[in-house]
Amino acid sequence: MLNYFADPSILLKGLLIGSIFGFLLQQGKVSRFNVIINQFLLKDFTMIKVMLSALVVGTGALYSAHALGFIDIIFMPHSSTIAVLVGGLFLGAGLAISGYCPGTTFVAVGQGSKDGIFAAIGLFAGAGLYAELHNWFDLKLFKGAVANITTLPQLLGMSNWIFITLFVLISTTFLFLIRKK
Amino acid sequence: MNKNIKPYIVGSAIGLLITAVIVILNKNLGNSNALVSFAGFIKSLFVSHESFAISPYYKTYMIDRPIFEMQFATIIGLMLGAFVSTKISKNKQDEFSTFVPSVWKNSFGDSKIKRTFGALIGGGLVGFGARIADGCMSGLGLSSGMKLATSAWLFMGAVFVAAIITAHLVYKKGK
Repeated sequence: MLNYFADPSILLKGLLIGSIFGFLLQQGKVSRFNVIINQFLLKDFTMIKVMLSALVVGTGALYSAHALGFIDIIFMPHSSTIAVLVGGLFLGAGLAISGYCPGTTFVAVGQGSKDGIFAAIGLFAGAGLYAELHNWFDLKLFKGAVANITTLPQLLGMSNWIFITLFVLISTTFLFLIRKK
Repeated sequence: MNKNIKPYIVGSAIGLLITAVIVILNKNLGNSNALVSFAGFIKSLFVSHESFAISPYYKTYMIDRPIFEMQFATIIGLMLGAFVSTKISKNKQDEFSTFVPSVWKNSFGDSKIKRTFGALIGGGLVGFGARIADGCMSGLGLSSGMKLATSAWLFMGAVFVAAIITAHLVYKKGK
């Protein structure tokens, strides 16, 4: 028998998080087709500004929270290298056509972009198609692929804080240089 | 607010929101698991419920946990937050309230049917790709990106490479 609804408190948390995130994404204009496509045509750098600012602030905040003991372990995603590369190529090609990534598709629907409704239908269909093909991907294409749980500092053989300092400095400089784009 | 600094302010707020979600709930801020659950829910209207138990992939999303869980509520919230944001903004809305966005129109004309197919096919590739990678731009890209996970940065790199190439092939340049 299927179990339909999670605990109301969990749903409420999800609703709250989604509402704040949706509000911010809409304010940041990254839920607009023109803004996203012009980013990939390298004419408008709004998307990079929003994403890289989030990554810089988030990295600093998360690793500080870890250092201060607010969080014990930072869990890494369990995707394999081949899966993120193949999946990323599919997602990127689709994003350049639909103009909406999974999250912003629903922001587009909420802001009244009518094409977003069709992008959302496509999202569910694409996810459903993958669910049917999952065994083939898992057993054939990604056979033997293991989760890549390394971090960039580990990969470069640096301490976390040296890497974070360099990352913040380089990214902030880049964000400053593209401020008029 | 000065429009030149707004993307940085909004981005920083997103960074803090995702950090709070990771620290407090020990979860990434994602939504693409809910895509599978909902696709499975639609399928469940047509096939026997037992068929999910024998599919290892659907078993994770349909049997081992509720169909409508936190990420599904997040999706409802995304629509709600965007609706509120649009209502309180003084900005002109015509840029995104039309069926056919102007950048699309420059290359493909104002046919609603063409744009519908573009949104469906593009959305389909996005949903398919997100499930292959087991994550979307917010869950795998941003959330795990700020964890400095190598896979998250490889993922975002692949997305940008594919999107930049596709956009340059598909859209007319100029203007």
